[in-house]
Amino acid sequence: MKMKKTALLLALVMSLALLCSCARESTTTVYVMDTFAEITMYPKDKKTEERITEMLYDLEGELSATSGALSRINEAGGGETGEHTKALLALSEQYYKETNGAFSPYLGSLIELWGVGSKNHVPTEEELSGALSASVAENVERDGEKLVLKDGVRLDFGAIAKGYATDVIKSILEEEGTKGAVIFLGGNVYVHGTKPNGELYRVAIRDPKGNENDWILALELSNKFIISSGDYERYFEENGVRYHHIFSPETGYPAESDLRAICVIADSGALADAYSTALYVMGSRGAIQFWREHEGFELVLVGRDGTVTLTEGIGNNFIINNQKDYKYEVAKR
Amino acid sequence: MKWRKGDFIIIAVVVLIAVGIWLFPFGRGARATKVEIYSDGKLSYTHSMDGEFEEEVSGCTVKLSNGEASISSATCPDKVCVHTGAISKSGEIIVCVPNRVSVKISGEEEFDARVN
Repeated sequence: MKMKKTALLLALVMSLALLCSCARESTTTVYVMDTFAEITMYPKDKKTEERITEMLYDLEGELSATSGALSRINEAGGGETGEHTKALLALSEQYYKETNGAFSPYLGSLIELWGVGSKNHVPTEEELSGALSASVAENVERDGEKLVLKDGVRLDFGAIAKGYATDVIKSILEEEGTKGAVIFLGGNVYVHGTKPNGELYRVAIRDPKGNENDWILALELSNKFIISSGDYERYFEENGVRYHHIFSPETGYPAESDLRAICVIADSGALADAYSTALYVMGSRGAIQFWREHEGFELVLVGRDGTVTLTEGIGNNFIINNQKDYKYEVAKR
Repeated sequence: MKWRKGDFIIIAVVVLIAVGIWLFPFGRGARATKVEIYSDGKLSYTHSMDGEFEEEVSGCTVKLSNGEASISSATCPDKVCVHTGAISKSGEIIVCVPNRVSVKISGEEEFDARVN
């Protein structure tokens, strides 16, 4: 009798211990696409992590502006495109039209000319006008399956590729039936499913005045892409002027925005990435106007004047950092 | 087989302990406990938050003093890691992309992710 009970208790203890020891999460860090990615899986899932890692390396091989297949197409003035390049170009054309050119995949020559973060060169007016006249949609043509790049136009997917990559990651997570995951890719975030305790994810948005770890606002959400653009990400200074990496397709200079940063929350990574760049270029009024005219995304705008504006669709699932000296307001439709 | 009051107490205690272990990592209030130093995505060293150290990892000098970790100097061209400054709270991170080094404080994390 007593033995039976002891055995039963022992079984109970062991099964509960087993439940506890099953790994709750696993994290992989990958240096890829000129930045780093952190993949956290709930529960631990090495197989899916490896699938994601391999996909990221494939994507890098195809898209890298310096060493990938796309760079060879840019050099040669055209050629056969890979699957990702094709998909990215189609999406880019759509966002280019929607944003009236504020997001543009045709700025490769301009981006190379400035070399923000590498050669850090302030171009002459002559250099600028040359690069600008090349950087137009009309210079990209299709010859059957082949792409033809005319008059020095160069494709650059820097403002959309990482967002697109997180979309591909999302489809892998869905295929694998992953319960929960947090994907960080070079500043962009995608939160998948729910946390092991069923709660929403808490995602902190960076304070552009501080360093990487300073936050201004945290959102509680799930199954969303959160992507930001700002003048603090990549820049150089010369003669007291800050030159950042988000260019105005009209002037060819770093966009003079009244925003320090903008964060787009959406169901698509490519859209959130492209829009964050475009809406930064448009500035606060243009961005809010664009949001009123389009559906499917929400915004957090950080103005130079110290105002943080949230669009009303975010609801009340956010936390304000009380230690910061910002004014918070909500924009209505 | 007869169940006695004592058996239920034992079962209750066992269940409580197990649930306690299960919930602990999600509980609030746990603090920064250790500094993890990664090189090329792999964990190289783990240090406790107390005490001091200075160490060179793949071109980055990683420092811990007074409960704050930092990369005090680095061979990379952009020095983004050095400019990040000191970190002390759980979940905070310093990354040197060119040298593929990251310094992370772990423990109970305030956020699941940070957009930057």
